[in-house]
Amino acid sequence: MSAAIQLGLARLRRRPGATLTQGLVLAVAVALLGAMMLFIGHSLRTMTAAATRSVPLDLQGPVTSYQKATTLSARIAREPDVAQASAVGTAPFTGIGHHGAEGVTAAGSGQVLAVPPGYLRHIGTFRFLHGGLRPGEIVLDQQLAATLRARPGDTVTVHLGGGGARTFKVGGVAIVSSADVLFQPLNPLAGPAPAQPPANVAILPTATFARTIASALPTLKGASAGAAAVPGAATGVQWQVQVQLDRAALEGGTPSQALTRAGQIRNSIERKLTGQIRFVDNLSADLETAAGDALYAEALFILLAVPGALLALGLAYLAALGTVDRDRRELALLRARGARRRSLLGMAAVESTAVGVVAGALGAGVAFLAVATVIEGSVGLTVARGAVVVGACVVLAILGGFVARLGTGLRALSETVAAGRRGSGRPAKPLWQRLYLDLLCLVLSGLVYWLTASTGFAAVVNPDSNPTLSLSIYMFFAPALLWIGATLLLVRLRGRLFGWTARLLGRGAGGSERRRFLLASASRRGAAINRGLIFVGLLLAFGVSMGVFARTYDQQAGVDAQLTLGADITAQAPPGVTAAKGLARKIAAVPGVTATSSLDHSYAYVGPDLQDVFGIEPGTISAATTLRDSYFLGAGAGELMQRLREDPSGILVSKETILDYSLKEGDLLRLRVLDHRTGRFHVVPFHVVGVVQEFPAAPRDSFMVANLSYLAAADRGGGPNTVFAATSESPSAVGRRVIEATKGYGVTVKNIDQQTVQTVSSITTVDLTGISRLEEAFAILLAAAAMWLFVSLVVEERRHEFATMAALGASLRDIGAFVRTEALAVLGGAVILAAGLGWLMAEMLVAMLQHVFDPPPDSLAVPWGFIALLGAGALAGAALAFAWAAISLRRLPLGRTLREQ
Amino acid sequence: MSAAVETTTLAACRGVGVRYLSGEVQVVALAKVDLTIDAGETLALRGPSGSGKTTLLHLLGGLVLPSEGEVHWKGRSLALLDAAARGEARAAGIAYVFQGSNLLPNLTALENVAFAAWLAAKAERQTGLEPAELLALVGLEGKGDALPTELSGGEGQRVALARSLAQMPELLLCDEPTGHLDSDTAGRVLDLIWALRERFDFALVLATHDPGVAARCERQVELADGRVIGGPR
Amino acid sequence: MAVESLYREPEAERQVEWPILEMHDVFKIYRSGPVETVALRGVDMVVRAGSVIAILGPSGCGKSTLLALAAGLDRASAGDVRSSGLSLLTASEDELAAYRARSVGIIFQSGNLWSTLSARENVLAALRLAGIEDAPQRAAEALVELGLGGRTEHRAAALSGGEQQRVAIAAAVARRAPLILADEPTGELDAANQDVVLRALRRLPREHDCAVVVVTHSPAVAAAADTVIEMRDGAVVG
Repeated sequence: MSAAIQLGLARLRRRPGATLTQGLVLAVAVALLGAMMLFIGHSLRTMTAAATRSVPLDLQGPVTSYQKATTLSARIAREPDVAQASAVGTAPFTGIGHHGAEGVTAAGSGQVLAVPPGYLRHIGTFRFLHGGLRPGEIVLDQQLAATLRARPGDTVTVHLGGGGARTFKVGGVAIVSSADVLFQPLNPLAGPAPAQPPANVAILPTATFARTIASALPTLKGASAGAAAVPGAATGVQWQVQVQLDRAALEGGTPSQALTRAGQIRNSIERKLTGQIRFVDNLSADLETAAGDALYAEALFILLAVPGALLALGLAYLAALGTVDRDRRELALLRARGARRRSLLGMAAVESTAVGVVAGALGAGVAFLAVATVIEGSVGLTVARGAVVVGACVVLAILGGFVARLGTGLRALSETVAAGRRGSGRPAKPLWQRLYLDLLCLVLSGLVYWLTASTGFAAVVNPDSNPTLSLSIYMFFAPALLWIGATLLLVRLRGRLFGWTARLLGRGAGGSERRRFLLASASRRGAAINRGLIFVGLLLAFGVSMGVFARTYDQQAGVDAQLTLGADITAQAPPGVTAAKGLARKIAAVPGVTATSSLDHSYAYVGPDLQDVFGIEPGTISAATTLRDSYFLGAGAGELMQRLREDPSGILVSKETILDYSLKEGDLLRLRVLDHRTGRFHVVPFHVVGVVQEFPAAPRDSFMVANLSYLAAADRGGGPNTVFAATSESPSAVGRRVIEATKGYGVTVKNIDQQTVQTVSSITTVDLTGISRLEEAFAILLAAAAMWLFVSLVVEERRHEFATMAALGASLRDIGAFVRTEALAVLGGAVILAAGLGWLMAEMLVAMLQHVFDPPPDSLAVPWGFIALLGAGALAGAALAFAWAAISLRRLPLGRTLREQ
Repeated sequence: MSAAVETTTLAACRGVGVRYLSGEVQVVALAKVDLTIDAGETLALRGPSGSGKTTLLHLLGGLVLPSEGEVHWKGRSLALLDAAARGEARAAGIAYVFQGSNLLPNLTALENVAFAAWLAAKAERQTGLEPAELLALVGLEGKGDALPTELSGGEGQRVALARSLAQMPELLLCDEPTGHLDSDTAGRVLDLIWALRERFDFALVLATHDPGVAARCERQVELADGRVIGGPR
Repeated sequence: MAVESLYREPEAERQVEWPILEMHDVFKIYRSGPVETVALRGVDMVVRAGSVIAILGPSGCGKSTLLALAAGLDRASAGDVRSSGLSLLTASEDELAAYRARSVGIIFQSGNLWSTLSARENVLAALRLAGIEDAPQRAAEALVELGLGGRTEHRAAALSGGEQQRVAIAAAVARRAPLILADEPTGELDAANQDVVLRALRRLPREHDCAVVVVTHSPAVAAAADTVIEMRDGAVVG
């Protein structure tokens, strides 16, 4: 073993304190990274699982006949990774009637779904409430059954287009949850196009359907590209093969991996059956969104976690600094006795490997523990994954220790041996100060930010078949440069700031003698204070910016959920039920509900475009849900509601509509509204009163908002079909009560807690809670550790000086004051840095990840509690260090310390 | 010097021994040493490195506690005082001059002296001289704003002397004060020490391996391997 | 009949006797910010094997700088420093490292030891760096010769200044390098130990044909050398 390596190992063994500190700091840094790895892996797998499980129907392949459907489905069912393939058919009916005890009740047009036996094994497009599917019998959708007041055992008559009618016995009642997917126009070239679900749905066994209905209607040969997704547009029987893929083949990886796999399976089937079938892929559409979200999740995690980990590694560097002067002389001595630079590198490598292996293993253990605490349930940890994480932690710890050692010993390698033995003289102005690197970095940061801001941060989702999300890499430079520049600037100004503060303090309170010495001494410890400033300041700034970002994110997630769902509680009812049964009043009477408002969600044509129209009650809607000014353009929410109240024919449209049709306020806008009674569109005049960008429950494309009464009169759809309710208590609890109150009316009740959990295709799936808890804990721990390390360094570096002071007769309190002065200087500067930089960084992050925040936040949410904890952590670390310093100073062996050089 | 000066015992060691652990090895720095120091006398501790001179000086200054035996300062046993009280005792009468001058590196020469003066003032003991005047006394009037790294070896020692004077010491302990100086400067510094002694009348204990330096003192004690082996008591 | 060669053969290759250390017109200038210090001015010196040279001069005369240049710890600003024919000025870093390992042993005024190692381990490390095979044997012998037989296991930090010096000297002695450089080797020692050290240093050139250069400000130590070179203000004066 070479002499250099032997020396290195001896140093590790015989300076246990320094070795332990180094190892612990490395372990913490590595633990953070390891936890992040575990967490990201888990999050991505969860996203995949959520995405795949939320798709009720993976593939739909239109075919031209019943025979083809059965043959192909049997063939496809045998393919690997296919869980189920079924021959399914759909057909429209013009009406349905029930001859019951109270007379004839009728319902309007709708669609029939035909499924084979065993359909529900893997496909969950509907579920039974009562009864089941038997040959020759029909199953009614719940709303339809309510409308017809039919029960299993009754008889219903289905009227087909062209005058035909068929009678069936009711075999059961079901809830059809995926009508929008089941009945969408199937155009494999266009892809999935979920349509407005038919108002009435009935289900038959395929065989019965083929026999009775399919023979009476024309068969669709394939949807045309421009088929409108409106009820009544389908005019014939659509046969299709519905395929559900094996979930086991898709899960266990990232969404992109699942997407690729799904595509592979589909392509394989289509290749084997070339020309016979092509699929509309609902699954891939969903996984694409999830893959895009996953990219953002990864970017988020990186942005949030990597700085923290880097800082933690920086602490390792700080810990290594404790012995830098002694190390430098000893390294110089090695070289003086003939060691080559290579041997010194080898020595550093061996030392850091020895410490790194232990620190890495320890860090991995802490990571596992931390993640297990934060994530409920299993983390999906296999032996392979665990080994990867442990390996990564060890490698990182070794590298981190090596870099720290190199960083502190770098001069020893490059300078002449003689200079190394001399030790440090008065340092010249550092290079970066002479080059004004700090100001350069700040200017560059602003430039990059402005450039990327003006291109909308180039977050491009390629809309073609292979979706890619390209985040402009350069946008990450802006915050990085901001960090570096701001810190260097503070370091540059520190000297001046310090002198100014010193003069201020010296003048006040008569300027005590002791203070004079404390300030004089601290003013010459610039290098050490700068070090502390950089590390503690950056750590605190990181904590603040991350906390603000995470809190704003949570805040917006709540806003987003409300926008998606519409209100704390929404109740959707079959047409006419809301008005007829006075649902709004019933719901308002439920304890916990503070306000209600009714809505009608309908459709209308603006020129050739079909847009959603919402009929609202402008007087009550602001109480039942939140209308933010940012939802509208040109005027505030209150003012626009007022305009709607004043003009019954008033309508709010989107900016695109305004531009497309060159509209101004007050212009006449003629819409073609669907008359539900006749099933035909007719022209209704409206007047433009404002511009709306977002609205509760509104889709992302253009939509319109009008008065409920005016719209209801125009579409004669029976009045409002939705009720919004605001709650004062937990939405899920109140939601349960609302369900009770509206039982039997066929009402679907949703609450916002479900929505926040359930939303799959929105970015809010990225649950930051777990990782932000982890990060907060680490930030507090690291802040405490950084202060503790800094104070320990001060005591270590100035040991000889403090021993001299003691020899001169200084008391422990006097000596401690020197330590405390430096620590307070660091803490003060760090707080300034944290406040300014942390805020700036959070603003920048929020602006950069705009896609994440939809709608953008009105203001940043500040987690005062966490920030207070962060500060307390730093103070606690310092206080602990003071206590420890006092003990070690008291026990300082004066004789031996003074003997040291 | 007046012949009728009362000789009071300033410091005394009785049967002291100092042991400590270095790695796994126990080192005996001093063993069974008896020594008394009277007010105003000059004493040289002679012996090679490793003989225990520095340890003995540390003992007298209360920087180290004896493993056995007793050390008294002005009648009080130093071992009975806690670290704080020993510190006060140092501030109030015992001054130390180290081999390497040991100036506080983050204070200027003037601030170094002022710091010691401040400590002494807290212990209610000071010369009537300002720190600047003390520096002038050792010939470093213009070097008050220099940091220790900017001073030569000899200049650093002189600042250390000025510093030690700031508290009007009754006992000045010097550990090889001229060890790192060339013979020319060494002679000058020693002359300065004796001149200061004339002026301030403190007792002087000088540890040295140089017989020429030892010869300047009234009394000499020889140490080897931690024991007193010669010299008049 | 043997044919005699008409070609006049060259004489046997003359062995070039390189001096162990030569300095030709060596200058060394230190720059610290705007301040320039000339440490050596045009120093000429030749040291041959088998001799003990003392360099005498007051503090600040440049003798320590001279030693540093001779040991390959720093490079001259101008002029040439050669050791056994190897020009230290133009040698690569690796060549200098090899030179320091095998061709020179240096004893500094202070900071000669690695604090975490014991006395014995310090000597062993120095010997290993020089690539010496029977290091433990030689280390033990040298430590005894310098009177440190009983203190070999003490950690370097626990030894007194003089003992630390003697350990460093033991390491240099055990190395038996062709050139031994010592900077004030007896500064901390009393008369008895001074004798021990000087005796050990004087023994080396006789027994191992090396050269010893001692830097000192003590005329007594200088008297023990074969040749005395006086320096003042960066130049050789006598």
